[in-house]
Amino acid sequence: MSVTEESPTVKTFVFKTPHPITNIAGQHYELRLTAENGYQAARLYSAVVTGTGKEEVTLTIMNVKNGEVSPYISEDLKVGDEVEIRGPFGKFFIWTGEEYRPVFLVGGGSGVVPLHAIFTAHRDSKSKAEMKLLYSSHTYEEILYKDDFLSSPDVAVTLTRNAPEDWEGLTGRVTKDMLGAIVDSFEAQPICYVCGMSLFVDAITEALQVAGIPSTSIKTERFG
Amino acid sequence: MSIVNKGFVGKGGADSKRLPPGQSQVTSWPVLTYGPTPHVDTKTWTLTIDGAVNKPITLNWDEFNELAMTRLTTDIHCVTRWSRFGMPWDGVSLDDLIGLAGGLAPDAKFLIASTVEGYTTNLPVRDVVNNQAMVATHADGEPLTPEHGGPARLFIPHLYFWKSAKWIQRLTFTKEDHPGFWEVNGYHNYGDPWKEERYSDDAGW
Repeated sequence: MSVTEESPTVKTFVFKTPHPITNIAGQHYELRLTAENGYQAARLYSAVVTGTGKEEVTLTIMNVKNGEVSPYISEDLKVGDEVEIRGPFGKFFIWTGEEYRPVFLVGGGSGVVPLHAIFTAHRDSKSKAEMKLLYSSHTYEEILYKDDFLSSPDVAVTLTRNAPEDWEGLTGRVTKDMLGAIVDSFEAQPICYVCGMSLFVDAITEALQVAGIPSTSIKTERFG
Repeated sequence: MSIVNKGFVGKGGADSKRLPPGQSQVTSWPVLTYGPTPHVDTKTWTLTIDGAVNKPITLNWDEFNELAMTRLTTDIHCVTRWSRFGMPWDGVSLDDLIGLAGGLAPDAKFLIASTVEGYTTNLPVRDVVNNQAMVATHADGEPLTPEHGGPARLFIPHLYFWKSAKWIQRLTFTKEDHPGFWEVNGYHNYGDPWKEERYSDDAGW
């Protein structure tokens, strides 16, 4: 296992697995903890990248205040420790190169994790379909996967709490106008993948429908 | 055989802190049901997942039993003040059932669970995804008896156990909340045992 600190509250873990891993972009894994008295808790975490047959699983985990599983993973788990992981799961919030329609990804906070898997799977595929990402982050420091996202013309990041003085991207919460402008910039109407906290997903899906996207073209994944 | 994660204690804390406020530990499994116990024949049993999902489905008993089962060993807390520790439960994760139904539609904000005798209970969607809920068929390694909600009941251990509706028949996702049987009869709409959310604020008890 190796650990990368993405931000003060978010870490990316690469777990060595006993078998080659071949998950599809957008799928998730179950991470299960067992206490010495037998008590268990399990949560689902999205894969950061498509599994390409390497013996490893990469998960980005946010240390949720008052959470049950993530504080132990983030604070107590050490390199060399074992942890029970099952999966991959999920047949709905996924993307493969067979998807011919254009795609609009909208992520809030760590909801961007499965969207990163989809975005990089698309980038590394032969797909000619358009794909764009709108990513809402509290601060610049909390932006995940800066190397992949900040250099791409297909990614717009909006900072909702505070932005550095030299920030040239969007600021403030995602608005109907922000979404509408990106929807309109597609050559054909996109299908949408929305992931984040429940309230974020509610607000985004309502605004996307105002922007003319039918609810049947919106896939959602919620947490918290 | 599970890996034991040294130092992990979970929501309840160490054994001495494992009991939510106002609860007592039991080693038996009390039966509390409103009304007579229905005897559900697995030959006619169905489970429907509908409402704000992309592909509503109905499964029969054989189809349901072909799905991947998951096991969770955890504690249950009844609003009548007993808690039982360390029970293994087997069933199908609600995440998997939602996936079979084509995923949630954007309007899915609540789950209304209905049972064969017409009892309903309501839950926010965020409490039934992310591996927090299953449709359970076994507890302690044994098939659920009719008294305990067999052949299949909802299982949501982080809330008071009335939310884990027995004899489950239908899972309907909705845009609006629809308080269920106990929730309109004086019990709390959410039911977090750690906050002792037993009764609704206006119950006056």
